[in-house]
Amino acid sequence: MRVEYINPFVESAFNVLKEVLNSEIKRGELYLKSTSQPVLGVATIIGLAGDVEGRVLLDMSKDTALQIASEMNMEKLEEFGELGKATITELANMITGQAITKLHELGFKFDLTPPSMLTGNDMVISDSGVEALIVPIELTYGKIEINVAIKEKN
Amino acid sequence: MSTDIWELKESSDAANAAEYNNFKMVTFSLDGKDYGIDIMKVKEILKVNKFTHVPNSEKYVRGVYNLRGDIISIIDFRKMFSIQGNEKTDDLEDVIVLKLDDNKLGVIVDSINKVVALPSETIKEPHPIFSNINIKYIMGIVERDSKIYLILDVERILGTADETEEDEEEIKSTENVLFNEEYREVPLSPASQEITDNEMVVKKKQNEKRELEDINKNFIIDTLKTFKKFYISDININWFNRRFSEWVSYRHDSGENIQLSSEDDAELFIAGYYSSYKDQLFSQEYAEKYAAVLPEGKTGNIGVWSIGCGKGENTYSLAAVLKNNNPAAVIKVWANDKELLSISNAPNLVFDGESAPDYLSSYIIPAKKGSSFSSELKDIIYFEYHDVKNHNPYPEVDVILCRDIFSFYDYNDRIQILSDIYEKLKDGGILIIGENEEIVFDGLVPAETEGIRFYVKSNVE
Repeated sequence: MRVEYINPFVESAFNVLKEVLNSEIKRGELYLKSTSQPVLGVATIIGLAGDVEGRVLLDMSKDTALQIASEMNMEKLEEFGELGKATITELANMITGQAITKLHELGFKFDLTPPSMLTGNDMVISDSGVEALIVPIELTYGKIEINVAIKEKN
Repeated sequence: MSTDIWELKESSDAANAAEYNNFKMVTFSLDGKDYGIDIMKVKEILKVNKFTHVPNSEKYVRGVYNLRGDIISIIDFRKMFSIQGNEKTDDLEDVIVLKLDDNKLGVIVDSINKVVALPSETIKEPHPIFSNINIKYIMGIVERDSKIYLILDVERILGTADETEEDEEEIKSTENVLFNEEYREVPLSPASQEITDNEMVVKKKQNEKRELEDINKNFIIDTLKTFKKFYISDININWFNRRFSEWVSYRHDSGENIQLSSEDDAELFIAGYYSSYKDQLFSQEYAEKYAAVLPEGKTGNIGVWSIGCGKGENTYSLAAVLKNNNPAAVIKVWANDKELLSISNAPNLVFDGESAPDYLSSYIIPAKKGSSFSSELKDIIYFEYHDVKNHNPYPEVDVILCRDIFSFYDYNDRIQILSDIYEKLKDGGILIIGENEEIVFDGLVPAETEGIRFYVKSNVE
């Protein structure tokens, strides 16, 4: 993945989470993963198109998702229902949107697809021929992984 | 033989013992230290003497023995491992008879103790800086009843192991090795039947010297792997052998031990491995050598893949040379490194423009501190955070620059990277590797121009 793309995603994830949550936020070491990777339980996917092709995946456990959704709605949600799902989807949208804005300022043109959310157990995601950058973020509610796989159009 | 030798060591939880204690070893001692051998390799144990001496055999071969009609060789482990201790001349020797494939072999030890059963998970990997027995020959280490046992890999030691994968690859050329067939069978040419005692001594000394050298070599190979993840293989073995001789005399002169005892030592050892202008822009002279190798006067597209580009110095140099060579072509360079810190700095490389060589001059613009490259050069290079052992979506390219990379990947990764390179290289495309590397790969034909070694892909089909 191009070096120029990395920082906007890291920064926007950090900024957005800091803004919406009253939690201590710690960024983990970035790393690369190839081919099939397990997904934690609640995965929100946003597709990218334009100069590049790829996707951003916001990945967390159900428990973490519920707590984040509760925090963002300022009320305790008992189950991960429609409201919870819409909240996490919106969070993914905010993070990706801000990153894309930053990239746009640097001269890269990206389009986004609407987010879609997948929930379940033992899920695995595969992207053919491209490795994913993982931005791990530690919150008091648990771990969020922002998983970005982008390739240049040849 | 006393019966308690075969007595199973009862674990405190006898019910579970059979289930979990899935590894049994025969333990013995040598010079007061405890060792073990996997029981599956042991045929029987004996207390015997009167071995038939075999003339002109290695010093650790005690002779042969008639075991109920089978003639087996008897090896003295004390001698083999250069451990103090004398042959018991009047007493009986403890011999462990091993079955290795179809081959039976007896080894003499100080005393055989008992059979110990334990769970195989408790066996730990040995630390590379270990005993005077090379780590390759130690299968593991285990603690039992407050004794530490080194479990020996007898198949390795006695040279019949299927040395698979990387090990085979890595040892093949140094062909070592302590107890290899080659050593046991020093060929007797007809003339040598009549060698004088003097020559014998010289020859023996040479053999001993060679053995010691091989032990040292193997030790260094192991420590390089541990400290620097630097793998010795066919790719760099010639360099390694040269460097080893240099190293021995260098350490000898400075009065230091040959072995690598720290990461700094290992770094020092491989310092000479890196190619010229590592992490530097090429000089005018060096760039001209590259110009002679790279395509010239082409129009259309030229693709380049620069693997392990670090902060990008070599990649910028290569791109500039290529652009000068082919002003009419559309050049695209994919450059990647797995070090996030280095690669992050690559797009905004700052350097001293004053002393920059001529071939770069048209691409230099002033920056805050020093100079940087103009967008004319910068925009054709895509710096990516990417580990070359993972998949990548790059298209086929004309030139691949992969200097000093292979040695930092193990056997399986190397094979994968090399096939990836082959796949991504167009027919007639060129691969440039490090100055101290050599590869053998079907369809990649070695060539040399102006002292730069490279490979040209020519389709075998």
